[in-house]
Amino acid sequence: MTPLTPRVYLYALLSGPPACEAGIGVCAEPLRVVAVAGLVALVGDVAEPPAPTAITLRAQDTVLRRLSAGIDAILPARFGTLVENDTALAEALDRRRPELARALERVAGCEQMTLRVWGECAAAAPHFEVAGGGPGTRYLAGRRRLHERASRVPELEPLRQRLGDLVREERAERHDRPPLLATVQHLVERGAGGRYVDAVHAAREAVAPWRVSVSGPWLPYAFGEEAA
Amino acid sequence: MSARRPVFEVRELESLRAELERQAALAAAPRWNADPEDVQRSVARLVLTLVEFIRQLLERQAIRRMEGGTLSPEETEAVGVALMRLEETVRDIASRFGLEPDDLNVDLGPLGRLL
Amino acid sequence: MRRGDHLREILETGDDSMLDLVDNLLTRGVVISGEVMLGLAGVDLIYVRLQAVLCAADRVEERSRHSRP
Repeated sequence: MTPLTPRVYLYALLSGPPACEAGIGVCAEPLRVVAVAGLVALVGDVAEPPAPTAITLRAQDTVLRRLSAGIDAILPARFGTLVENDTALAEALDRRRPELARALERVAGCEQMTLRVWGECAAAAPHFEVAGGGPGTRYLAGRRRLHERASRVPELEPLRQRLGDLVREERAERHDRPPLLATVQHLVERGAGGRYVDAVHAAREAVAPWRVSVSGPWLPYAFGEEAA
Repeated sequence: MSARRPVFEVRELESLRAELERQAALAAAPRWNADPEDVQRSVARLVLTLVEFIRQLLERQAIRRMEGGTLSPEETEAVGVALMRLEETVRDIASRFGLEPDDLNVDLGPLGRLL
Repeated sequence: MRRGDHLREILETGDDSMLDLVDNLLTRGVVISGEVMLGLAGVDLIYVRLQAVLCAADRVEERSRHSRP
């Protein structure tokens, strides 16, 4: 693999061809839209993958926001996703086609709000006793609880109640490294950002002793995967 | 359309930066290069990282099947005991080489979805 | 790691609006391939495309039941 071989840089998957002209990408390369494995991909041909810098990261997000304006659904790819050519892209996407198609449906007409949960101490986790079984079964049940707990953020319950059905879907990740306890992504209808932020501010006291910060709206970066 | 800026306290900002560094380091394509000064430890680290990676995959799949009801009680018990012993063994061998659990950096992110 | 250096620089010098941007682009976008590079003495020697190697056992068995003889 020589560094001069042109490679295909994947920006995002789209629900259809963009309404506007594709324009240029992060490396000033012309963007093109290609139907691949039954999906629509936004790509650019680059000699080398762009290095992650403040400028390139912002540029990529800007490119995608510009293109998402005229499209129902956009699934951003991870920064730096490079494949050898369109055929390799088709192979890589083909493997995951059903999940990716589902993900596009999921994010249609939506955007993402990001919450961070701050505090000195996580909320207590509910303890479920496992009846019977030998040590192996109890071990596995314990590991299962741990996995489940990794994506639960009970600290946000008062806020969730106020948000109601503003939130279409949630993706959560616990860090439990005080003061950073968890990160939660919420999928909301496009345009609901203002109401969402208002609800977060209104819930400030209810969420105490924890603190919540919000950013967004973002493109639905975190919703390409099924919920854990 | 620009992202709203959240307001952070300094300590929170530091904590967030540290966490992102940690996550993004894991998310980058992993590379293994043996350290010529301490080949044994490098090899041990690679081997244990691979074993730990496989252990996590096995554990996830076992839990999935346990939840889906496709494991008999005997199978559940046997797999649970095996995973428990595997976890202890990895930890023991790692500590003998002065390796912490964090050294066996495994981000199952992309590969967790292969299952 | 070169990438790690880039990242550290962004995280240390960027403003706080960069943090969520970095998080979204570098750790949350859709991933379509899993790969590992194995090397010695700083030289990349072997590229492993992991999704070609790993697959859940019950999916494999299901596929073989449906495959043509």
